[in-house]
Amino acid sequence: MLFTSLEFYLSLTAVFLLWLVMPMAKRPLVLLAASYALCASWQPWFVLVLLFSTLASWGAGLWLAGSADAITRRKVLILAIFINLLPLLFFKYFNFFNASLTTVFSTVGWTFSPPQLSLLLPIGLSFYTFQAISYCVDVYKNRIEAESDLWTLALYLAFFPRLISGPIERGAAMLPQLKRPARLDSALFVTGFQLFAWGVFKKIVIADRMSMYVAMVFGSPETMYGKTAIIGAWIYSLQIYCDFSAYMDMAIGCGRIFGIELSRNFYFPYMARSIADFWRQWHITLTSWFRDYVYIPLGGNRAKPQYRAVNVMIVFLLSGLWHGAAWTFVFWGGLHGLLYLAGWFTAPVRKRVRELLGVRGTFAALWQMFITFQLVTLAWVFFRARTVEDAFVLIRNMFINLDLPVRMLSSQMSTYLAFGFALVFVAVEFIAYWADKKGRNPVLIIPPLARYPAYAIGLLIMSLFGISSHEFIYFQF
Amino acid sequence: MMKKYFTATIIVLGLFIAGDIGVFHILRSGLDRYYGLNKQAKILCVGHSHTVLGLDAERMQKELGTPVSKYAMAGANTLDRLWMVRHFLAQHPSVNTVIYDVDPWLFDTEGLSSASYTLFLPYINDPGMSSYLFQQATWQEYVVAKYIGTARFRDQTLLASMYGLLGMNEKKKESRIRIEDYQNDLTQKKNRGIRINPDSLKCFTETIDYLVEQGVTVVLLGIPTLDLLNNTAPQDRDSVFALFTEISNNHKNVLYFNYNKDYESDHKLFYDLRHLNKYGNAVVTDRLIRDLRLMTTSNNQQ
Repeated sequence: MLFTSLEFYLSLTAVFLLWLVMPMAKRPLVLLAASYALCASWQPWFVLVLLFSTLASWGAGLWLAGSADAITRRKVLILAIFINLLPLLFFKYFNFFNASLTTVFSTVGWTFSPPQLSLLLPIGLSFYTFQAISYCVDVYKNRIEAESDLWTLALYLAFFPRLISGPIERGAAMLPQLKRPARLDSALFVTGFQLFAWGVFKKIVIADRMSMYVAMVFGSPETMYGKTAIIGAWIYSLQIYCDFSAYMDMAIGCGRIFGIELSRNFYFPYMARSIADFWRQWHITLTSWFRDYVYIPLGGNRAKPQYRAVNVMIVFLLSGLWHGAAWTFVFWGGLHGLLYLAGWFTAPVRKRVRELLGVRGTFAALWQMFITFQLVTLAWVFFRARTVEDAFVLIRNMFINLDLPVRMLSSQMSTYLAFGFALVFVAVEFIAYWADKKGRNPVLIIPPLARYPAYAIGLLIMSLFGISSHEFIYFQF
Repeated sequence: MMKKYFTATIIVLGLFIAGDIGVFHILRSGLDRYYGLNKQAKILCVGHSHTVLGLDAERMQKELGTPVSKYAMAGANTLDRLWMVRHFLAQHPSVNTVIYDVDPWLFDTEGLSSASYTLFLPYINDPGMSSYLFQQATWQEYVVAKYIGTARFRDQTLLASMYGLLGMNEKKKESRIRIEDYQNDLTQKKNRGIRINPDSLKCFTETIDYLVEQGVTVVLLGIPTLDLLNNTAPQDRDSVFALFTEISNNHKNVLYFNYNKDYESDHKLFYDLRHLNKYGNAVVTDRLIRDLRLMTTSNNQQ
């Protein structure tokens, strides 16, 4: 079921009305049933994988809580992590590892032909697996208490607005919200509804329009040159942000409608002034997960510089692999790791150069944002390309035939609309960023009298220019 | 607090509904003008992009001295055209001649969009189109389009409506084909040949039967496509041409004007392999006007 489909809106309304008429104690069960129904709407058996993960985490949590012996607790934690990772390793990486091994063996002249299975990746698996692992680790570390109520833990892992693409929540933030009385909070409801509507707008009017141009450029990179290749890469940078943040806005909006506050996953990532900044502002819940459950256990910032660099690379390579079972993602992760380290090592030199040149203030900030955006865009090329070779071809072509005109889609109107809405999005992002820095709500910048017509015009634009046939990019992960 | 939000929602929805009705009526009138649905045409040109780029209905109207409408859109397949003809004739029984563009790939549906019906969504409330769209569209598409006027437009129909509102009904391409850009395309076509989809053929014959029943004269117009493309599958091409000739021979009121032989090798008339540029448009429109005059004269003599 597409999140931007009429089916979803009707289902959401039905779930909300049912939730509203139920006694407060039963309301979480309505959400749980809706979450499992959404999961089953893709493939009924996906529910079994989700249930497996839930039962494993619940059992592990209770076992950890009931055991005082440090060695036993450690063994239970390792077992819980392993069991939670099993479905992910099997459904997502089985074929990838086999194909990679086959290639490695064939290069040294050995024959290795493991089976290639036709596997469907259960929806949201990467997200709820990480959430389940964080729960087990947090219980082990005594950061949270083990959840004795199976239904609460099941809802924590399956809550439908975040089931498919996150945010990856932590028990400490979400479990207390699920346990308190499920009241309708009118202020939260309204901001949730506004955020949800803005998410729909971003997805169907902006992101999906940009996706048509991106599909043309990345569909045949060998024939895209100069300005077309560059614009295609820029547009993809905007598309993926718009698409993923649209989903997040819808998820957080949905959560608020039911009185649950989900974590923020983006904080103006393209306003970042370095790669390190970018990762503090992009997919925040995944970055913080890797920081807390991989990087810090490996030694964190306390490790010696050379070990710290290796740990950074491990984290970024794992992050790439988490996104998808393909070398393009590993390459993307690796490139970000290298850029991160380059930024780290060259920081003193860059600071000195800035001081010598006297570059400071807004100009310096804009310049750093611009450079960071270009570097992030370069990495996105690997993320979107079908193969690593395709990515290199497109990057090479960016510097060839720069005099050729920009390629259009078969419909020029669609091209101009895609470019136009991309520019609108950039402008809105700058305004929202400025408002955030001033501590103001961007919606409240619009004068009250103009607000209602502005909402109505927004609805008209959605109706006239919206395209609602594309799945969210992060659904595949 | 909830009362305040409820009032705000009602105001926003009210503004949206008013805006939707207003914008839809403006866009729909533009579309009607673009397709010539706003006039009691005697001659109707129906087809896909070949007609859009290859025929100048305004010139035909001026020179023939009779109202001519061009109800054509890129990607319209034979099923779409059947409904276009029904739709137009239901509103304008004045039509006495239909120019129907044909080419060797008319029944080859591979590669064509299966969602061309969405181009008719602005006419969802017209009796004929409503039942067609009910059959073709998904229930979500149908429900949304039925109740929200502005949701009926796609980029193509929106652009057509703009052109209609601005009075720019004739789209013509300026540039000439560069054969070297199409070598891969030609090789693919050569390997593939021309396939006939029986359902598409059935829709075509149904359209002809319907028009003949209505007492309308049908001109099957072979708007030229480039010789290099036509020659990729000569046997298949000839068998489709023979089919048009046969249909024309079997019906008194069906004529087949095939302009391919006369113009297909004149490459300066083409924008790409399948479409005429403005020079081609002028040549073919001239020729059609001449042939229609001859047809009228010979009908009057009989």
